[in-house]
Amino acid sequence: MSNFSRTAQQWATFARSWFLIDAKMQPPGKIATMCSVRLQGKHKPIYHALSDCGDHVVVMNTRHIAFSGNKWEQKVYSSHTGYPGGFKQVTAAQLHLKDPKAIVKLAVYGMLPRNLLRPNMMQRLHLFAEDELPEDVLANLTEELPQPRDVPRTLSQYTQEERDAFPRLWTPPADYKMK
Amino acid sequence: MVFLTLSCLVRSRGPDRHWKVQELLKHARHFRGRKNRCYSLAVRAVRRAFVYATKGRILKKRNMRTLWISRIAAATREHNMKYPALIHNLGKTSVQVNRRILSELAITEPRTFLSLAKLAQARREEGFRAALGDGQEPAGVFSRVMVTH
Amino acid sequence: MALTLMCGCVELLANISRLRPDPRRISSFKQTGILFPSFERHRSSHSISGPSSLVPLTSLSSPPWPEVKSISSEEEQRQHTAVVQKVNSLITNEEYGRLFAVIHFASRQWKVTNEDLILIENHVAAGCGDRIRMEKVLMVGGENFTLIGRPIIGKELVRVEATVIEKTESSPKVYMQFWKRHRFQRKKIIASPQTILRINSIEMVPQLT
Repeated sequence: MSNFSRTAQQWATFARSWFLIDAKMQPPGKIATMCSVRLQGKHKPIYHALSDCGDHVVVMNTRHIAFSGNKWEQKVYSSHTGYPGGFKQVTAAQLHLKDPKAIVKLAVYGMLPRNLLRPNMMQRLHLFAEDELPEDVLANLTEELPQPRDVPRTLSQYTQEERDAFPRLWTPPADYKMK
Repeated sequence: MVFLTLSCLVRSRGPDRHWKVQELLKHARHFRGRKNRCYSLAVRAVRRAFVYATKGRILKKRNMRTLWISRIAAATREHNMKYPALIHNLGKTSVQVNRRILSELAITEPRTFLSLAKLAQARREEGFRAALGDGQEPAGVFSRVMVTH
Repeated sequence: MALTLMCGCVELLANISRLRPDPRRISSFKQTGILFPSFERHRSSHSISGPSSLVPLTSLSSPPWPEVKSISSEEEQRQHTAVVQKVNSLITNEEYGRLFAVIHFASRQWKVTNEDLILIENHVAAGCGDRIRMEKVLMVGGENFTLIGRPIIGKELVRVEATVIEKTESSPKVYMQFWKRHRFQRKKIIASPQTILRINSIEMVPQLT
């Protein structure tokens, strides 16, 4: 058939790339879907569940994720130690204070298929609480994925002109006293 | 038992239990444990294996289809489209290539797949244009979209 | 017959390589900011420039449907003739490399190329050694172009020929049903007929319009 070698093509096809995701002000579920797709290799046309073609994913700024609604107080993470009376329940806020990587890790873990490959896929997930990455991880990165949500600007980042131009619902009367 | 002559065939009469057992154990030789040599255990295991094989032949078709779909979805997302958009619009342009061939094309002929994705995208935009009409709001309707800031 | 040509993007396609994982090694930390904008974003102080208009963007700033652009009919006609001319010249000069075709045969679709063997799990009316022509061709592709039939490419454009090589039976398969506790058991041994075809040639005629 072809008289050129396909070795390089084969190597390139099955090489693992490293994706970088910035989780700053992003919903953890969205981050976890992106991660689980890449970890399983479901973004490749050669995907097969048993061929172990997943990539590495690096998630940084996991400390700065953003839950919507009242999930920080109401979302409960449960576990059982196996001993009598060993049922533990912590809210998302408590878990996040204890370990800033735990929420993203649990979310990804829950989205991966429940089979023997799941621990291997989890090993290819690299979580970092801040945006400081070690040199060896930096050297491997190939691509940064776009964030699913826009990072909102805080009030201090708006100029005074923009604040003045913002449409007002109601103009207070001159003698109105702010509480 | 091999009957080389007619006289042998006539002499060997009645059910030949040994050969019946061997016929069944033939399918159980690779099983684990005593199932691969004891008839009374093997007979159930072989029956179950045959039933699994029968059901598996049906399941294989279903599983392959899901595999093709996930592969096509992966390839489609490389071209900034989604799977339903591709399949729906290829159907609209009466391209009747099935999912097996599409997934094969995605792996071995990526440029052909790209042209299919572009074709579907073009059809999709055509549909959008037809749905929007000339871009004007219908008469008598006032919406905030029309008011430019 | 309707026919779609998507080959105008030859040069464009040549640049697109799907095999992305070329590990772009990052030697110094300074390059990181170019490749991964998030680093620069955090390292730089909070001086995000505002939009040109002072009015903030809302969901009603623009219509919710995507921007659709249309091209005029004469422009479309011009592009069409250019593409057809190019493909016709490619076919005339036989600059297409090894062709592949997607054919519909025996209620299945097959992606074939020259000298392929295909196994059909059924009888075929033609006898062994007969040369047959596949008439339902859904797609033909070369190195730089693909003809996509909607749904089928015309007979005068493409000619795919095959030879019946072998007619045989598949290995026996056991079809078994069993319901527990119902004294129900069915066993049937099935061997389906098989035919093996050799694809001899895929030929194209430069008659695109």
